[in-house]
Amino acid sequence: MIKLLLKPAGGGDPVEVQLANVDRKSPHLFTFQRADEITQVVAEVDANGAGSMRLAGRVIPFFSHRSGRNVDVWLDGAIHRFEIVDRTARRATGSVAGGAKTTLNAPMPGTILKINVEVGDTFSPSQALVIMESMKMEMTLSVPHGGTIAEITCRAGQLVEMGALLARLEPAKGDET
Amino acid sequence: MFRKVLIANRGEIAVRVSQTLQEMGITAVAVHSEPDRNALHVRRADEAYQLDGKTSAETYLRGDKIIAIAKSHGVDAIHPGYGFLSENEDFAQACIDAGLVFIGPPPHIAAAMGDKIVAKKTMAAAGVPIVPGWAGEGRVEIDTIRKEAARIGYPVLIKAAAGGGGKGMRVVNQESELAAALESAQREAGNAFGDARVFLEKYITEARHVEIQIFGDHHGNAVHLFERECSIQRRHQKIIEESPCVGLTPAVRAKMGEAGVRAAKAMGYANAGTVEFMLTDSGEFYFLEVNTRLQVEHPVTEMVVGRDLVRVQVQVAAGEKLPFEQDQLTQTGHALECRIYAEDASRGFLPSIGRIVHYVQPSGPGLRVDSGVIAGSEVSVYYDPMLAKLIAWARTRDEAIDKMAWALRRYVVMGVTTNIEFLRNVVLHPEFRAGRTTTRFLDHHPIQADTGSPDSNAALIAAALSARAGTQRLSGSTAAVAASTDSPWTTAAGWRAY
Repeated sequence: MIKLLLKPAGGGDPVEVQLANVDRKSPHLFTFQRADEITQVVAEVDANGAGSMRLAGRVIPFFSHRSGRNVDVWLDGAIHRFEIVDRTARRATGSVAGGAKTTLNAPMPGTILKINVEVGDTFSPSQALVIMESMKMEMTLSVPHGGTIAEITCRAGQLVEMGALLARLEPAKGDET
Repeated sequence: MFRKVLIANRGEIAVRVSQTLQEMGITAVAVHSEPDRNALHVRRADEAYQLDGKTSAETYLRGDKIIAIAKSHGVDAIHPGYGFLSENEDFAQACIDAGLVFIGPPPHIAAAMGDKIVAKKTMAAAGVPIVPGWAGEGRVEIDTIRKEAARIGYPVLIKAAAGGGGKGMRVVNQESELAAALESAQREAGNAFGDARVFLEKYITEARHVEIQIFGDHHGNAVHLFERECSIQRRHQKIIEESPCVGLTPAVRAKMGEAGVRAAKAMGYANAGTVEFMLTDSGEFYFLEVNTRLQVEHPVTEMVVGRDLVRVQVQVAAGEKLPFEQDQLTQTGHALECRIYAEDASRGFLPSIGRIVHYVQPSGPGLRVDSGVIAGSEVSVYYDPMLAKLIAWARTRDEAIDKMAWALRRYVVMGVTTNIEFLRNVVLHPEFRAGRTTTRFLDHHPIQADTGSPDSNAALIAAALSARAGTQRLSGSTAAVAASTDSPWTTAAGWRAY
């Protein structure tokens, strides 16, 4: 998982974005979050910065070049320049979270297979909370911190949209950032 | 035919000339400066020899060194490309004196056409229309000039006899400005060319730049290969060229072509040359100057006429007759050329230097790229920042514009700032599409430097992936900097940390 604050070089407000690998078995499958918008993307980039992505059915080749805090991106005939003003990177599969989360959301559209917890249960960091299936792949959803389940808003067998609220969480004390 | 030809140039033109030489079975010899030792023009040559030094003055302008290299390596002829020594009559003469063939017109033609006053008089005598103007002999009194300027009619243009690149050139809108403008033009011309002579011309405010490609051989034959329009210019330099010119009727085209041939015959022209004209809206055209070399924009002619002009240059220089007669030449379809520069259109076209980290040139039916660079190439402060020329050919002008816009959109150059997005904005401009182009196009139509596309999710995802990839491997950029030619890291010899 990587969380970045990207400042467009041409001016404008910094944009906070998050990119998370959904499942270790599918290294090219990511969820991308910008403000409240969550998108699923299949993407890869080579060591030189040449890459390609599939986003909402479109094939998008790109080239990137990083030098220090600056990232240049060539995309569809235009150069986009960003400065990385802040970054946090964390290993966390199946979570979109950066800091302590108060909700558990579906990172992709899919079917809820199993809910491992009940309201009032306490959970430990990275504990499997919900198991869902998307694109014929099983995903284990967890958060990197511990806490208590406040509410469960999905049920097994339910078809959910990307970003759908699955549960409300109360982070354990000391995990709130 | 020659066995070995030295190319006294660098960049895309050296690459392009070497291809034709090699196709003809001729060994292509490159010369290069120190920073250019791994440049594409060197890699494409059969043999390459270094000219010690970095600047043009120390290297590509050193005719003596280049001739010495040619003589010691069995070279038969020298192709000068464009720029550098291509229009230097002393260099052409020195080649001949050393027993080498200079692939270009005889030295006396370059000398005559390099003097703008002599060139104008030669053209007027040959019946080629010239801009109404006046050129005095020797020292002239300001009163005479004032009288002549009034006769020509304001606005008038003061130009330097030895001129070029806009130096010693002044626009004078009314008589009150004349004396000061004259003095400053003479001073600038004297400093730039060591020749303060100036002349007056009627200043034509709105015109197309249209030029006729001419070709002569050493057997008295001369033809023209139609026109190129080169109106889109920034800082008095062309950036987009095309053929045919939409502003020409068949009758005016024929008249201009005939004028070009008349000019060629009047000069006793041999090899490739270009006669430049201004073309007004009403179809009148006036002689500007003759360029006694292969032009940067020659590919648009090659595309519509279907001839390799470098091959013809080599054939003519070797003493062969022109391989075509006038009635065998026709224009087919439409060709456009865009010059890809390492420059920042948002900052007054300031040149950009650096190492090209990504380079992917578009390809496909009807496209041609004459490039001097590849990924990894270093764009230095020492030379002209033109990287490549993108040429699109199609059946009609509309289709050629579509193809050019398509290609520019897929042209990837990263590591230096380029004018690619700016060029795409020009070719997509409705007034350009409509063919309403004059040399003042960019003054009338301010063009955005970039496409203005918002930072879409895709751009942010790509940036995030690039940032993420950086954390997963050791940075490759340190190695890239260390390998780069003129970086401070390579010059810090002896500095070592244990």
